[in-house]
Amino acid sequence: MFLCAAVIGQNSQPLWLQTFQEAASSAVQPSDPLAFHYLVHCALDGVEEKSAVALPRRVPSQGAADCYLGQLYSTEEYTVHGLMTNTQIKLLVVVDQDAPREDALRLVLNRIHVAYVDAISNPFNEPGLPITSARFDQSVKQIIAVANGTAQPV
Amino acid sequence: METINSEILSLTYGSIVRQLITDLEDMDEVNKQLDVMGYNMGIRLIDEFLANARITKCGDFKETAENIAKVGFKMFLNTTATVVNWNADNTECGLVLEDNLLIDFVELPEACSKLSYCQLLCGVIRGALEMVNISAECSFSRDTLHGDDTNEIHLKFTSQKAEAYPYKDDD
Repeated sequence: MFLCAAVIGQNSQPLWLQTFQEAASSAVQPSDPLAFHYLVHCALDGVEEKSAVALPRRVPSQGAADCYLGQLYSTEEYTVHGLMTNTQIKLLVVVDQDAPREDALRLVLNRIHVAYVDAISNPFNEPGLPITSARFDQSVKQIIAVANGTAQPV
Repeated sequence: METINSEILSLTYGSIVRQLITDLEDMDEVNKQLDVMGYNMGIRLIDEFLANARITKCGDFKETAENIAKVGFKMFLNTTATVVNWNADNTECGLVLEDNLLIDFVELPEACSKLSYCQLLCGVIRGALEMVNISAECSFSRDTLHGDDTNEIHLKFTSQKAEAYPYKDDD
């Protein structure tokens, strides 16, 4: 179950964060976005570790140059997985206990990457500033909803 | 025919508009400037259009509008427009554009709500028509960037000048 997605910029500044809380699963304490901000921030250390290891040995079979970083940080309830682009933009997702398989995670992160590229191609978007695109919000919501099984893929 | 990725056109146009906004700051000025730029493009594009399009002379404004919508847009933007809403004496119509590649990734922020993003297209049409002695007014009546469901250019033919010969016959 995907709970949160975030985009972090080159200088580790948060560019976008959105939580996806299902109405049904509010048995867990309803986390406010601040808790997720904290989680994502802690996960950035994981990003540094993984990217320091990954970059020197560039695996040719990896195809696209984007590094799927895998699991970055975990607590009792949540795990954070991520992807870092060549431009040092990190796309992170927070999942809870029933973590999806790796290929599902890769798929979701790749789709978010595509949505991110469309959002920054907007001439009115300032690089380095928070992303305020309604279309991006909508796309990621749709991606997460499909991944969580609460919506049909269009 | 050579093709290029349309994204480069969308991004180039986007940065032109951004630069104009930074330089001029007033949305009306930006709209005017885009129109002038389009006009300058149109007066040159018309020759290319007439050279490459296999069209016969237009009998009336209706045929002119159809040619712009079907042949012109197809040649330069690889999309076609539909001509709708002719008024009673056939001088005004709308050109409905389903997909416009110039606005591919664009979302207008609040500060730019008065901006007519594709005003350049209106200028192009106005300039091109002027070179064939038709004066027209052209503006966007519906714009998806402002929340409407489609893009529509309102075209109004004002007058048609006769061919003006620069030299007198008996010299």
